[in-house]
Amino acid sequence: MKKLLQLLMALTTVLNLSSCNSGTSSSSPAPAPTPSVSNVTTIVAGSGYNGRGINTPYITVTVCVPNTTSCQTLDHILMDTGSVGLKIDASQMNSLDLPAITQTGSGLPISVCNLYGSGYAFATANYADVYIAGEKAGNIPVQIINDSADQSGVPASCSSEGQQVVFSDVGARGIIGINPIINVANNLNFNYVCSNGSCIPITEGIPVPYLNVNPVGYFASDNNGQIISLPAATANSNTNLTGTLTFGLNTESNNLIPGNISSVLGDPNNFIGKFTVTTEGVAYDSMFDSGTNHWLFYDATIPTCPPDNLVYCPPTATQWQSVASSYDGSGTPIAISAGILSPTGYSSIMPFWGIQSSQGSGLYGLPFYYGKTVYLGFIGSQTSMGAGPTWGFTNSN
Amino acid sequence: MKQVLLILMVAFAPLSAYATLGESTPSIESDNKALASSISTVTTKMISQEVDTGKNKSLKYQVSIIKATGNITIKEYVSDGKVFAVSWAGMRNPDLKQLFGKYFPEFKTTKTAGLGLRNTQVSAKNLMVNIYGVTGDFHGVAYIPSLLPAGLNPQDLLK
Repeated sequence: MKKLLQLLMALTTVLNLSSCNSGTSSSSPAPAPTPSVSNVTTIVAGSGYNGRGINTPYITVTVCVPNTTSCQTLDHILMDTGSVGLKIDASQMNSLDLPAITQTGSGLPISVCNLYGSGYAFATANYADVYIAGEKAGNIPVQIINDSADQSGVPASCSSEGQQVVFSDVGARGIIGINPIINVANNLNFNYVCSNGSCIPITEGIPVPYLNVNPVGYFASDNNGQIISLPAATANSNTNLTGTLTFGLNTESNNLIPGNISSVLGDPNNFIGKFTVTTEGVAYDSMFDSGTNHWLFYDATIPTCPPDNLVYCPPTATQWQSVASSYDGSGTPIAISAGILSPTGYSSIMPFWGIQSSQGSGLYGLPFYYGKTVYLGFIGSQTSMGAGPTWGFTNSN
Repeated sequence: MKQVLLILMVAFAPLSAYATLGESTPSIESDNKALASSISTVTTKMISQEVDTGKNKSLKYQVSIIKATGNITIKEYVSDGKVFAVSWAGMRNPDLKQLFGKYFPEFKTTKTAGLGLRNTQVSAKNLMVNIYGVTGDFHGVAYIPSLLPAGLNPQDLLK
């Protein structure tokens, strides 16, 4: 991959944050929030600020120029347990001037090619103070995504990896990756410095160990894990669900791990701390992924809908069965089943929506979270679930 | 449907590129040169797969497996001398401009709908694509419906 990085160079325009003021933003510059002991923020799950999302969870985040009261609060930031890092669409930013992270030596601002299943997101790397509820992560790397329709400035090595991710297509103004591994090695992504309309791939001179960090893991307190709780959904609906994201595990009276929890150990050497899932005799790495908006699995016995043969559409309600277990085979495996129904259309909330993956891969998407309280222990944490990354849950309601 | 898999090792040689969707197999050679600078040397196995459809028709196509830079495993499916499908799994996606060739513009401009952050789905007349993945683990399948060998279920490409 490093060789790949060294070779590709393309014309681009330098991202200019001050030119990105035209989009909707949820507030004007505001004073920094007063720190408090609050460690709970609201999750809204559904279709997002423009009604275009399905089974998508959002939270509200405030970013500030470090050590100042120049801030912006953004609602509908996609809460993603399957990635790492806070990234905001440039069109959603007001005039807030977050300082660039620059390459040591050249002094040029650094850009990152992030990859999601829906495509690439080319973004500048910046420093910010990040506030959620009463918690603060000071002076951490965040990214501002080039979400303009004209992507001609994006290096070809990035834009050739897929389509452009359009966060507005999933009802979001940006994304906050809160995976338990809490950071991603810089060499997993393609990094560049851009100047005078062209970008050059770089591997050296990145002044921070990680350009993608989970802000929760960098809070001053309540930073060893998080709890995601969403109400049950028993039918397709266009009514959003409201739940909570609580920071810390066993650090406050409101984030204690219950005795009846079912949990597994994730692999600390996996990029996103996956555990093992077995279905139809095939084992693979997987996780409880709030960023997948469906049940993603391979089951040859459940029919799929033409013409794409991608969406499961069983003639009657059916159950997909799987077993989750720790990556190292320790502990007690957990049986997890999903109700799958043939969809009759799109709704904001679709608890029984199944999509076919390739055999030997899959993810427990947001429908898994409905009716559960899910406990994620970060890497380095030690709790009753074991050594992080840990994935546990109770059926809450 | 009874399936008989015949695996024959036809070639085992260092090769440093992809073939391109819809192109003839010699496109592998030109692609070699185009991508030699950006793709490290890989090993290709040519596999001949014969499927008994149960109707006295056997289906033959070749599958090349390429181990590319970035822990990406690419499979190329060839029938009648043309690449009718590609699939991959790896830490990132491969260079899809190279892999999709003349179909890349259609891929880029055909918008997906509804499947959210993790999926790219293209369902066009000339091109079917499904990509999904999370950090460090991406999967994709693409095929040209008109070049699909008769009797081959596209679902088999997911295995």
